[in-house]
Amino acid sequence: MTGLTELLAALPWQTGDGPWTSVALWSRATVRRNLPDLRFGAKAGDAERERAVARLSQALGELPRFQGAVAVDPTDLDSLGRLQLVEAGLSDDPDDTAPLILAPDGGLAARLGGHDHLELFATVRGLDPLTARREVLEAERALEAILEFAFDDAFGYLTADPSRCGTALLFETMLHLPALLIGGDLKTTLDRLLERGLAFSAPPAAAGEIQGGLVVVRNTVTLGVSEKSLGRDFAREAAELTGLETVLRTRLQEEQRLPLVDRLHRALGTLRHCRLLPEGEARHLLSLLRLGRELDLLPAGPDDPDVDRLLMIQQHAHLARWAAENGEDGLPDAVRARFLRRLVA
Amino acid sequence: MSAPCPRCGTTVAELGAPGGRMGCAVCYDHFREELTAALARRVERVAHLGLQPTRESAAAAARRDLARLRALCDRAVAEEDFEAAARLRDQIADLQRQDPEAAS
Repeated sequence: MTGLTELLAALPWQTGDGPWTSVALWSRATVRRNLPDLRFGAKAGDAERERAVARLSQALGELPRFQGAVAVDPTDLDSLGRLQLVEAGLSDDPDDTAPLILAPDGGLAARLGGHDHLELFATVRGLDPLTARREVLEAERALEAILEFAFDDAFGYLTADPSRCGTALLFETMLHLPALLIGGDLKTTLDRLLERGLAFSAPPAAAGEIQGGLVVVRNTVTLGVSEKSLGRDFAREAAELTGLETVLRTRLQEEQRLPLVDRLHRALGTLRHCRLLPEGEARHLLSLLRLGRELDLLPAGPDDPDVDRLLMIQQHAHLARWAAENGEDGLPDAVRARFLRRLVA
Repeated sequence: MSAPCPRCGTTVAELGAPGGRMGCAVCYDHFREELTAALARRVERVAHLGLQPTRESAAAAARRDLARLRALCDRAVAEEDFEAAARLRDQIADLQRQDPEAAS
């Protein structure tokens, strides 16, 4: 399973530079499409699902971007491997068996034969939903020249979930909002998004709980609006949230510097000295470490690991794989504490 | 209440359940009325304003041909050219037999 771990570690949108990475970890645009002559999702039998996967795989193979693509079949993975896909943001469900095809550059991927025959998604580093949109729609238009997709004049592109028909285009961005969390404004701010056609959730592997101010924001409306205005509106909303977080960080530094610095150093101290560390607490502490580095209050040395990488690897399945490969044993919380103690030295 | 979808057997009750999903493309046509009412509660316009298919599907082409023939037939009747109208009606009937979906 080393191959999977290495593959996931190489995803270019997990770490590094990009627009507004101080607040936004990644942005994604997903389109869903179905073949008109085959039943969708659970209504399709194995034979129909296989036909859908075969036709879509062949069409994807004709796209230059997918030359040399890597196929990941979750049925070939053990339960940890499938959970790693969730932790890496490539799946929403560890029981999902729909095959994934990853373009060699890691920025474009397709899930085949799930609820919809095709989920095509482009993910980019930082806050850049419009680039993600461009990339996914370029690929979709290229596929559309090869395959016919289910379409209706009124409902647009037809999806298994009827609330996703129309453009069938979903934008998501993962934001890091610790200043909103510290200031006690996170819940109110997120609840307000609901009135503006957006929804939010914890990252897929966080068991539904928003920890450390890490939250995924997405649009909810896909019909009655064009791809262009959908992207423009989403980018504006995400930029507003990012701007608010940035202003609050500055205000925290100016008005509550000592308590903030104290909080950040306590987090660092815990990461360096803890002996048992549950996943949720680790996410919270790493969130503060990320904030400290972004504000230059906990400067990183040249050899210090990337916090976003740590956020990914400290998760249950990635950590279990790391432990198995490095001969580490013990309770998961103890292994996590040991892992982070070594890396946040 | 609508009968189950003739192609995949999806029922209105299945669609109305939490997380209810369409089972096939025909569901959208079969449950058009119910779905339009449900979507109208959550979107400003139940109308697709996004990208269009770049190639016309066979069903869309048949619908377009049917609409054109019906318009020609109406004009022939209005002009009292009943011979032409009868010929067009035959063509419409042929097209409807070939593609019942387009006739709906």
